Amino acid sequence: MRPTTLRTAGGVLALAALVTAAGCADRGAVSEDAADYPSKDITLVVPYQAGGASDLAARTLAEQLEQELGTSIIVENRTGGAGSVGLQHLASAPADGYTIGYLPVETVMLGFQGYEVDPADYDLIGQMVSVPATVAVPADSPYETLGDLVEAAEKEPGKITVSNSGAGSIWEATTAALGEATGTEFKPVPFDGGAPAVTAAIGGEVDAVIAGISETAPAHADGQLRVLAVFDEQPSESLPGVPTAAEEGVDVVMGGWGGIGAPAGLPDGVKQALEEAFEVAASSEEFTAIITDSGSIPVNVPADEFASFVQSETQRFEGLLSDRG
Amino acid sequence: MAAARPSAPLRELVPALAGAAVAVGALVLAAQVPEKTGLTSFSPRWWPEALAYVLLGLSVLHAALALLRPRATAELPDPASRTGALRLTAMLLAVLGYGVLWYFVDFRVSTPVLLAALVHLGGGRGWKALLVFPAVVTAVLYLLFGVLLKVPL
Amino acid sequence: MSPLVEGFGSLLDPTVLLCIAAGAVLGMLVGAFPGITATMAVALASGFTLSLDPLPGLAVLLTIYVSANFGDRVPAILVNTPGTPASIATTFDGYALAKQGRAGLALTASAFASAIGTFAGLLLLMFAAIPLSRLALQFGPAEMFALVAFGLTMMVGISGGQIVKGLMAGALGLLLGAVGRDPITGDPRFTFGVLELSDGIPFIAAIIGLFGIAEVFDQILTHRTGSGPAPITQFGRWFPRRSDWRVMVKPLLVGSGVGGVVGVVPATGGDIAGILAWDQARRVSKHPEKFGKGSLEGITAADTASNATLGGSTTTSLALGIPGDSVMAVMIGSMIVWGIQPGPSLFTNNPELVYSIAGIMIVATLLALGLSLLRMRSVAKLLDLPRHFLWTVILIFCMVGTYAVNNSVFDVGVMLAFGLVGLFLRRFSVPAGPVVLGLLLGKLAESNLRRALEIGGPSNILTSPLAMAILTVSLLALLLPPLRAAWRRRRTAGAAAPTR
Repeated sequence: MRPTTLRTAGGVLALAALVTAAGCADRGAVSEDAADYPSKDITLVVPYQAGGASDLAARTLAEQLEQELGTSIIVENRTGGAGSVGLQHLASAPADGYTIGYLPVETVMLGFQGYEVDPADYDLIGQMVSVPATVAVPADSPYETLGDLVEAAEKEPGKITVSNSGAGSIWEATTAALGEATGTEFKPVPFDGGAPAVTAAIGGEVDAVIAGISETAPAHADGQLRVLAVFDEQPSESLPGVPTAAEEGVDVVMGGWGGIGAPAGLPDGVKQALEEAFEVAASSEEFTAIITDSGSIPVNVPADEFASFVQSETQRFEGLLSDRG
Repeated sequence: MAAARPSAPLRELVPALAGAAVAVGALVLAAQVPEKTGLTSFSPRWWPEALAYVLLGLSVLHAALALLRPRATAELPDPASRTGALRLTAMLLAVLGYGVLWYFVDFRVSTPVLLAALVHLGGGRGWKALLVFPAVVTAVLYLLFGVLLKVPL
Repeated sequence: MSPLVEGFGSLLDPTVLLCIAAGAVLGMLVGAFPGITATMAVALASGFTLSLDPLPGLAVLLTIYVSANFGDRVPAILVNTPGTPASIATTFDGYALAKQGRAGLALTASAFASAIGTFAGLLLLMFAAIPLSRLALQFGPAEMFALVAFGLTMMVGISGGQIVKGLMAGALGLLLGAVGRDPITGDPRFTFGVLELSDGIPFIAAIIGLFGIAEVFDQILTHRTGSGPAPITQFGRWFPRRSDWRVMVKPLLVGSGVGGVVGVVPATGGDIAGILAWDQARRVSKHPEKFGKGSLEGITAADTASNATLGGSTTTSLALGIPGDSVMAVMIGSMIVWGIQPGPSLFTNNPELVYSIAGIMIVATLLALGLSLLRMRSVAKLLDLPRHFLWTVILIFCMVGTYAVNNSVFDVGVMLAFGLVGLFLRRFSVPAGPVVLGLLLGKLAESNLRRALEIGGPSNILTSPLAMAILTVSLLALLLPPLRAAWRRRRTAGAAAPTR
């Protein structure tokens, strides 16, 4: 080895030693007092892949939370098992406030689909996004209203095909709920993701699609799809003139949502600090602007309200998903 | 001709047997897949079962061809050596040990240990091979993944 | 013409050029690293770029996308490990060339083929986006199933002459592809209660194991001190000669065509296109027997096609708002946040943006090509390392890279297990390519077939002209070669008879 190479190697070695020393320092932290929380980096577990809608919501909120809490938040994507891998990882992390996670609607569904996920394993901090379900038909479809579609299904139960983003998804559950509420049956056709499901409807492969508003609204605006109804309490700004399902006589309110949670058993002080930071972060202009632009609806539901919402959702999915199991 | 290469058909029987074993295993496991009566027209079992039968058929065909029409394979892979087999086993054990070690010790400590062990098993000797090289590689990995990509190592 | 001038002109902004440069270096790096894919790099980068203006932000993301598809060729050629799935087919001939001491030619030819492929794809984007996107909409489940069935016929082609063993390997791959939750009913299959398996076998871990790790294991197993083949230190000549270029013309055309079409079809990308083009080029080649044993035509076709998909999938993404592949899915997310709504209206409302995007990709391609040609000599030096260093470096890089994909130790275990499976296949001369093809296409084949049948029964497939045409072509592709061979035998026999 020539002297220059040796010197370079020595330099790299020194750098490595430095990095090691710096890295070890923050690991040395001992048991935490709620008063000085947070005193080190916080990890935010996202149970889905980087780049998706959930990831976007989580990362955007993390940026705002960082400013509020005055510490770095490292977003960690733990994917797999329809989200259950990341959710289980979160549930088994120490309840010290240094591991928090993104909780999607699947948190209350997976338990009824053969995964070991229980919403009771989490302390809820707050809900920040909502993605109401929509039902849409191809632009040249004969069905002009939700009533037309239901009527067609009543004529031939189980013949009207409705695409969704995947087996076991909230959108497939919405299809089942729509059938149950109207006393008929639609045939769900699961695809690999929301975009292919919407494409199938644009291309006329299926009679209709049930997907999140962020996925159908752009195609509606372009005239490729016709959204018949939004499964929400009020009409959406991004779909002017489109009624809610209730206005069309179908009492179904359903959709995806996302919030922040932590492993159950947080110290009170830590939980309060997180809740306060969440409230500011979720109502920040930056957060609401990015979420609105992405087509979802930013909300800011405080912990106690979120907890009772999760409870009612759990009961509802127990009824909806267990019948078919 | 066949007598001149007695090992060829026997060697070819191994993949046939392995294929058949996988196929039978898949059939047994597929029979345990739960079936729900739902709105769908196909059971989740039919695709894997169909594939398993195809694999089984191909395995039998391959065994028959190997026995009936033994052909010398054009390119035999290089023969394995005893030291090679031992070395591979030792390296795999080292990697397994690393998996355990990583769980308890920080990445920046466990990785140089593994690297030194692998280099040593591979035949590298001397302080440059056993100390500098592991440290440099670990530093590169840590900087790229731990610092730049923020992967929790 | 003015949107074209305006679109290209906006690239002269130094910030944009700086972003392209940064993206190119980053993209080459992540591409060359086994495990980290362009999707992952773009997803992580999109976290930073959201705070930029749309054009510089797009410049970073698109350049990573393009240059990762140059970087991933390097480990595929040098150490038989695809840097990203898009370079699976590169290993078929690239590594064989490298073993013959022609790594230099393989690397440069691959870089040129990748660049030409990207340009061919971009031509589609600039001049045929709207009509092509209509084609993409034609691909419903029935047509997708037909396309996948066509893909499955390639198993024969990549069996390296061992047809029965190749088909066995293919069936194994398809079976492994059935691991995970049923795509239609959601029931778990072969998951043994392991959560990580419910989404199927992690694909990237499996290919790294089957190609790169299996190669290292095999070398360790057969290595003898002081003997055996020397490591690849001979790189041969670097630049293709005129005679090489003449050989490369046909595969360049085949690759561009295949890549363009596969790119336009939603949800299919460079991995499938590379294998498909490799097999098509073999069919039309004068020297099909050289494919898989170090054919310049093979590597050219594979790399042209996998990069031609870039333009094709960008076309679909921009013209329809449907992601053409997984990278574009991430990119569409960023674009929407920037207030750019991909879809047909983009081409009428902001045509200059489409040209800017094409322009960024052109500059990125040139830069990546330049970087590839400049850097190669130093990267290739890696192989001068003594064996024990090389093995260790490949093992640890593959392990950490695979871990980083999902932050999952389980994936690393899968990679090592597939390394052993690959070693077994090698020891018994079973081709590994069909296993990968099976894994790649298994889920697509089953889910699209069942989806098509759910929607309209068998008639859904039988009444689709496009699906039936593709299925007929697949059948011909399977039957023609043996029929032609038989016919040729008869003709030579017939020609021989009268002279008797």
